[in-house]
Amino acid sequence: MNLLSGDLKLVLPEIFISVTAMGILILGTFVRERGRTWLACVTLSALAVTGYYLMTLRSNPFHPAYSSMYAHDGMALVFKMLFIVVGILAVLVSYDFLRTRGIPCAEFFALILFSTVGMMLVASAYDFMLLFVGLELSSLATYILVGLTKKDLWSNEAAIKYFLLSIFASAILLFGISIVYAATGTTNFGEIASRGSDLTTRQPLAAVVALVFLVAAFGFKITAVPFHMYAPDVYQGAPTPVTIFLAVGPKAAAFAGLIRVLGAVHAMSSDWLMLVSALSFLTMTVGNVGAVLQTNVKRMLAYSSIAHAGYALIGVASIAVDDRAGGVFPSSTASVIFYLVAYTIMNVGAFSLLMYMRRDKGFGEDLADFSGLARRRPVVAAAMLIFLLSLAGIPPSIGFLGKFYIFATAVRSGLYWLAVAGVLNAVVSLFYYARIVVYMFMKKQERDVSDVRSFALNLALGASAVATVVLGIFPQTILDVIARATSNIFTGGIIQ
Amino acid sequence: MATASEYMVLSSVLFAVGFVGFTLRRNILVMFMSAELMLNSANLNLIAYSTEWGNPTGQTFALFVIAVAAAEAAVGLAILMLLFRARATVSAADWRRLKG
Repeated sequence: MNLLSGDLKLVLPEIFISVTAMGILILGTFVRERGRTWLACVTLSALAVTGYYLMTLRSNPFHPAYSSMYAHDGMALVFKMLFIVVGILAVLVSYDFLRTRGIPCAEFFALILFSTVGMMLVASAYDFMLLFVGLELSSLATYILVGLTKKDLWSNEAAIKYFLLSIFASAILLFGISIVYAATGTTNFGEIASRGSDLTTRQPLAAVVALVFLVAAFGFKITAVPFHMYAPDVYQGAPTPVTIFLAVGPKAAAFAGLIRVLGAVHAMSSDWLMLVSALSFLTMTVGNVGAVLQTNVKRMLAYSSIAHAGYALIGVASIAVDDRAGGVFPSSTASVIFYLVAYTIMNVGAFSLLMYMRRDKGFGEDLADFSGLARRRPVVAAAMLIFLLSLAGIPPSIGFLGKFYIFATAVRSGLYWLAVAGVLNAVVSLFYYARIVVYMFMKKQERDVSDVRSFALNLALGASAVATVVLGIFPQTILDVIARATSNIFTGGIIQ
Repeated sequence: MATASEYMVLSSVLFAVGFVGFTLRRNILVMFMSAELMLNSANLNLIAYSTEWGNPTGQTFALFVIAVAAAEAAVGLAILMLLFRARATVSAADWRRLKG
């Protein structure tokens, strides 16, 4: 019997990464801190091998595996590739950080891998059961990561806040799921989508309540306003490499889950377009206004990441109206995924800049610490400039294209007011991004900060800077991949 | 024999109690217990409607949820121990360095 036939072939990436993570935990007890380089190499190669294997898997047509629990389609594959890249970048940016802070590296790498597995399961979830377990697996690992610097009171506080609000959100999600199950008798996305439409007429209340609970729970996970309160605190308090991972990985996973769930339940209620558009508008606006008020750059970037979740939500709202690709423009789902890719690359870059300056305890994270950076380290300042321009949405950068496709999608779907709100918000965001640039390039050094030099960090920063510019000018390859991948996803009949 | 919709009422009440407890109480341990109550109210729903629909999906789901809740308790109480060692308090009001 061929072991690798059928469904097992599809979940091999998840199995492989889980086994590697457990292996690293065991290995870590033997090699201790001397084997840091070895453990990092094992983690990186496991992720790279998985990424290569994912590329060889064919994604069409949509294939539900394991009694329709596990969806194998293009969208899942693209998201999984993204999570692999996030994992690789997280290992690179943390490598020297772990040494200087004395954090046990085996635990750190294993938790990154476990969280990656959880996110991959979410991307493939075709059943509420798998979705819930995947989300919980990825969050459980991140609770520990946030609190990993045990002696640091900031990190402790961030960990407990993140933990409490996450389980609160999970409970809300689970109650929403239980209502869906009570109304339809199934937790399978495909069956819910086919049974949902008559439910609206039979049990309109259950449909609306379930929808509100599900959207609220995912709102927590993607830091949508008004469920964002914990995000700035957690992102600021967590160790910076963990912040980088947290800001891009679990958020992208939650978007994957949201797209799948809305595909399943949208037939139950037509109110979700309104709900998601309102969330999107609030998230953009509150995120940008919050960012303007900050003097701590880490916290400012946390608010900016909230705002970016709002832009991506415009795309999610557009999926409701029209998910076809038209001419040179990708479909709504494809624009959301492209935006998440852009968001990942530029945020990893911008957040990792915070690890280049060290002050007595911890890193130089205030605006004042950035003063005179261009004179001291011109290359690093130039990289930061690229990321900030991209975050603000100025061409030629991947951030500009991401916003462009999202706004174009909104206009095509007739959501003009959201597109206008998005553009106005992008203008507001220019203000606080430009403030960092002013400090870097036009001010004399105000504070005594020592420079951090780390090859692994440079590698991650360089890769994201090059990707930001190159993909901003030649996006076609990656757009083609995403467009092909999303042409056959299951969206539960949203595509009319 | 109670019907499934009566269980739905009971679980909604439990969920509401948990929700209010989580939002109003400032003791971290009580907040955690409230969240657990919310999780278990959903479990009650899943199990009641599993019987109603005559399929085992809900009961299986509830088992998964219990396992996940146990793992969460382990991690959460570990974090709480860390906090208590650092500051000898379990009140959320005493942890407010991060704000703005």
